[in-house]
Amino acid sequence: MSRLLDALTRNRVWKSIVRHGYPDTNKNRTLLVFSNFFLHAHPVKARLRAFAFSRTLYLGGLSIGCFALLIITGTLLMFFYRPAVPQAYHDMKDIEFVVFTGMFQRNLHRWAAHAMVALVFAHMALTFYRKAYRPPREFNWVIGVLLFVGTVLLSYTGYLLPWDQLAYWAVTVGTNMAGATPFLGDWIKRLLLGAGRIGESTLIRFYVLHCVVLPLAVGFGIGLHIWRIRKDRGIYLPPRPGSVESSGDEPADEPTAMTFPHLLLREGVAGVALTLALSLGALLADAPLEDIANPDRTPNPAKSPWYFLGLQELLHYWRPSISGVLLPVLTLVALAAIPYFQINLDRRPLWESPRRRTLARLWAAIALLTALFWKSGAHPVWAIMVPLWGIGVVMSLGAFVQGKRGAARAIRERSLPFWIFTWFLVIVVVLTVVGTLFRGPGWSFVYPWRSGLYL
Amino acid sequence: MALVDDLEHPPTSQESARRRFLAAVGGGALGVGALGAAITTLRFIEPSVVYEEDKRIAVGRPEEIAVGTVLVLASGKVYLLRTEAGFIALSTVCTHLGCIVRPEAGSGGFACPCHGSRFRAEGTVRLGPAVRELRRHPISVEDGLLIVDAGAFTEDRAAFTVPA
Amino acid sequence: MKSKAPTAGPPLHFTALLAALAILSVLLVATLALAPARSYFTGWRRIQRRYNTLVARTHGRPVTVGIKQVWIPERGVVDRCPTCHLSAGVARPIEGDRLFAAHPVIPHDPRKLGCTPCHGGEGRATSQREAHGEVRFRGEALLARADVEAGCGSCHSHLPTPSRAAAEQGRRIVEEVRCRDCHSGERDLRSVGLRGVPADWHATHLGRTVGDVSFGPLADEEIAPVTAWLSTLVGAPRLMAARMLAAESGCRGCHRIEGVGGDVGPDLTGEGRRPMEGLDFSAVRGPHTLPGWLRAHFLDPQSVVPESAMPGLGLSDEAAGLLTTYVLSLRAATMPLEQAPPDRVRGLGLRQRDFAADGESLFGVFCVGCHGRRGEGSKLPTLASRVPPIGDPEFLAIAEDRYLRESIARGRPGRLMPAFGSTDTGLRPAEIDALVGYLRGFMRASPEPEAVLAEPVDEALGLRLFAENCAGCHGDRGEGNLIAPPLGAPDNLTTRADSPILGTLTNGVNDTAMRSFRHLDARSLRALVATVRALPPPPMARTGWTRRPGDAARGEGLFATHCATCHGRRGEGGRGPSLRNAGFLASATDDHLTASIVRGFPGTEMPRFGTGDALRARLLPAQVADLVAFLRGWAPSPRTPIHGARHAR
Ligand code: HEM
Ligand code: FES
Repeated sequence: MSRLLDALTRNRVWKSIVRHGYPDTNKNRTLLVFSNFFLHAHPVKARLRAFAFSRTLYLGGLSIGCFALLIITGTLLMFFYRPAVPQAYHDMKDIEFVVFTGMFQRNLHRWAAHAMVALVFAHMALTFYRKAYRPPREFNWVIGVLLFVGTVLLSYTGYLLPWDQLAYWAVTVGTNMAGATPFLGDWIKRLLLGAGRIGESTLIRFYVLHCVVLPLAVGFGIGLHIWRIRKDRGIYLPPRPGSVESSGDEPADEPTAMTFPHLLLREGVAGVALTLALSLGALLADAPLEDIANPDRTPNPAKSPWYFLGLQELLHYWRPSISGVLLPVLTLVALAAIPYFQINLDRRPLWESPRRRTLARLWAAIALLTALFWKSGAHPVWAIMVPLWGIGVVMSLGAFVQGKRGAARAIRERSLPFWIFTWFLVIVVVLTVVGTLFRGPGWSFVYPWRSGLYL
Repeated sequence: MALVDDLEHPPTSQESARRRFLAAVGGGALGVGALGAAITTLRFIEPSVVYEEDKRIAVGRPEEIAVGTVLVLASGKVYLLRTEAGFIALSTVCTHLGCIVRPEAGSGGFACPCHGSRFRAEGTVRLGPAVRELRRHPISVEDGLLIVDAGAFTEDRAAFTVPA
Repeated sequence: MKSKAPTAGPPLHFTALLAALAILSVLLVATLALAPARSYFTGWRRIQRRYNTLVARTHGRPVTVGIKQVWIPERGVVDRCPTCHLSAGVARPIEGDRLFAAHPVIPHDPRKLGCTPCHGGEGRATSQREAHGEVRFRGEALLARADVEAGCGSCHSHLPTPSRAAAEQGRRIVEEVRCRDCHSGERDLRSVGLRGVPADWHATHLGRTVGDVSFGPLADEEIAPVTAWLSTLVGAPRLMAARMLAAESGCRGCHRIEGVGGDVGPDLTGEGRRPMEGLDFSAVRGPHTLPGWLRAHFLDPQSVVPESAMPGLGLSDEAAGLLTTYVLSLRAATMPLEQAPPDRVRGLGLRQRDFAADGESLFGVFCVGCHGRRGEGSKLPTLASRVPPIGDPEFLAIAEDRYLRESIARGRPGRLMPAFGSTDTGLRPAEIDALVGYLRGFMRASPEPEAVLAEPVDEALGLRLFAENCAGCHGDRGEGNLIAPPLGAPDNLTTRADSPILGTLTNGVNDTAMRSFRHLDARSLRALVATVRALPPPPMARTGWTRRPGDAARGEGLFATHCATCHGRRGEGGRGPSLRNAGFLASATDDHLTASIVRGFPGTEMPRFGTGDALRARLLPAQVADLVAFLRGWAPSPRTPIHGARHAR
């Protein structure tokens, strides 16, 4: 066995490709990480605390894993797909019906795309809670926000390609939303559609965006993102008890371990687990393909992909220029701006400040927002107001609870940005759940346990 | 020859002014070029012609269409009404976000499957989120035939009457 | 490989992680292996293997295992059905095997036409469930065996369809004269209808002999039925039966099909392929498929779609099944005309009718759905008032041809009666004439005068009938007035003898409100003649009597009291039809209006105002004249309110 290995690795060809010896010495292990194109983003040695699964849940890494799977499966699908009407739809059917493992590849591509949206969003949330966006990582956070946008756009452009009813109407609603942008709306819509309405020219545009422009952009963005993490000396670790917080330069006694094998092993486990989970999904659940796109008949209800259903739910309340343009854009700008506001950098416990005044201001703000969400839309926006009140109550508890440990302490020590961000997360989840499960024909409110699911 | 760094040999002030000027000219030119390239690229992507079939529909002789008739044209994308006041060609494309509304049983109006807007029979909004009434297509008469142009829209709110 | 974990610091779990990696990797490989396995172990592969074992027994040629498809690019057909149904053009049939048996002989080659154009189903699929359309969104459902001829409608959208009676008569003649003695084998008649039966077939057959059998001439009236029968021989007996049934069920009165028909109900072109989405199956017993839905809907429309305006046609199960086949055959064929079959070319290109254009057939195609098979009228589920019985002899007596023609052509705005006169979608002028002629046939023939006059005279009956039928115009004692001349006057030449009176009664008098009373039986007519003869001389002389207009101003008041409840305050219609409408006013003469008001419209809510009844006061002749003058004063411009969307589904 080891002879065979020797024979394989002790020759010029091997040496010319892999420019180091068998990784059983520290030197070779160092060289392995150093000189390997695919690994050189890693440091040779990394801090042990940064390895810990609990710190990042590997969410960023898993997002990269999804991206890789998407590139592979997507490339395979491209062998059979023609972005033309109606061939696109027929090609999807051929991929499902006759292409060897075509159904599996298509499913894997679809589920990995969904997973990536969820993972990237979760990654962003966790990064916020870990306060990892603070200097020097502010701009990497901004890159992250852009990557999130890129990920969603990738999913969205991919959604049209099967040219079925689902695709057609989701994209109709989406492009009309973009069309509601003040001043530029019509122009943006024309740019997206390539025509007055969705048709073959739209399909080819979305195809180019989905298969070339956006993967290159997101791929490049990921590279930049990772490169900056390296330049920032790895991911952010909170100061250890007793030592002063410093950016990057960790104290000498910070325990470390070799990237090879320890970090790579962990990444390997995560990657294989992800691929396994998605493959199982791809075997068990088939990606939907409905009737061929029919511009004359909208299915009832016409729902976008789940990650847009929160937005679609918002569209039920305000006009498209608000729900579809203003709110999303404001949200993204606010997210990107987080690391540039001192309050988000300090993250001081809310209840450090004078108790009474804070309480008064807090509830004044809540009252104001309640009035806003009650009156401004076509219907009262419960999905936003109820979380607002809930969080307000929990926040206020902090002003009264005593206790040095557990929940009491946690509540007392949370900062205002923490609460606002949490509110945002809850809203996103609630809106998405309502849009996905509780909306039926004509976007009327339904109970899924009574009327079944409308997906 | 050793490399000479400008920091080791500080230029004369005249020289550095010249350098600043040249840098400004060069940089400016590239900047303008980049801006131009960006605009040109956007303009490149923007379609200059759109491939759309002629969507004018010859409905028939107007005098043969009785008052009170509702004709469904273009596979349901156009509803042609003949009211007391004249002809109205309603587009069934929802003014909210472009889904196709459907006739609503009972009310005689239309309901949108996407976000639940409701419209009355002659197109005005009964329930949001849509705010604008259903759009109308221009109607004309050519060679005695009533023509609805399903590819265009008109802001004209008056019903069409056949010119005497 | 040795791990060199630092001695200090937290544990690195190297071995545990390596074990996790190993286990996960094994699982992953196992999972990934399932994907190709799923693509490899398919039903069709098993079927092809079975075929190969079967043919091996007879030393036939095996097929190479793989997906087989029929590809007809110009029709957009990609049919992979032969992957399993190997005998459909790919391999030699094996008799006795359900799957591999030979396809029944049809006029088409499946390799040139494909499978789905006739059978429906999802041609691209390669699993049974998906190909047969049993999976939602995975394609159109397969046409069941019983409905399979509906598939012909994918191309043959305009098969000429004669009336069932004619075809049946033709069939009997063909049996009797033994056409099949010659027409068998090569000269089989099985699909003569497809190319169109030559109009001169009878003439060209004359004098032909085969052996000692010669073609004897048919009676003139036999030629048309035989032609009708021959035209149904298209190789699809069930489809033709379905089309003939549809042609006598009046579908096109409300539904447009391939561009022809009314617009009361939804256009049915393509209904046979309608997507299942949006169909409500909650009240459908039996299979939840399009045919299942259609059948349930035919049997009881309102149980399936409560707000449907479709009349229940009182169908038997079998008839509902036939009509289902018919609707399934409406498949919205799209193909360039040069590829279309002859019937479609004739229908679309030459605009020939696919139904017979005689009055009776037309009545079946357009009218019977609402007006009933014998014009007896009906009650539509969503309408408060009844559909008028236009076959009623008394109505027909009142209605002039012009009035009938105009009503058919212009429809009745505000009611369901569509305007059939549109040149593209409706009836052609000659066809409207044929219909009017057919309606006239519902009138009773004039009785023989001798027979009537031979009846015994019943004086009481005569007086009653005079009050009911004549007094409304002529006055209670026949004294004459604004609208009708005095009857008993000595200078009235007509009333001085029996036969002129009878002639007038049975034929009416042209261009007057005096319409025929032919619907009365001989005894009644005899009694009436006697009563008229016995009338006392009136104050007025016949000579010099002319009809004079009434007073429109007084008519307005009368209208408000007597007519507005049904016809609307401004005549715009309500329970009764709108009167203030150009078509109606242009086609209804003053005489027609007078006769209608006095005699009413039997079978509808329009009362006989000439006599009045329990609910309605009687209008005197002068009042009738006032009303007519008032109606006449309306500007002949249509003013009816907008009617709700007619196509609610
Ligand atoms: C395509 C999408 C993205 C990919 C592939 C990605 C990938 C990664 C990876 C691999 C890491 C290393 C730590 C970890 O695994 O959690 C990371 C860290 C980071 N990501 Fe992302 N990321 C993406 C999107 C985002 C988004 C949406 C944000 C925030 C708006 C973001 C902000 C950050 C920041 C600030 C760090 C440094 C965190 C630290 O130092 O702990 N990233 N990213
Ligand atoms: S598109 Fe019609 S309500 Fe939104």
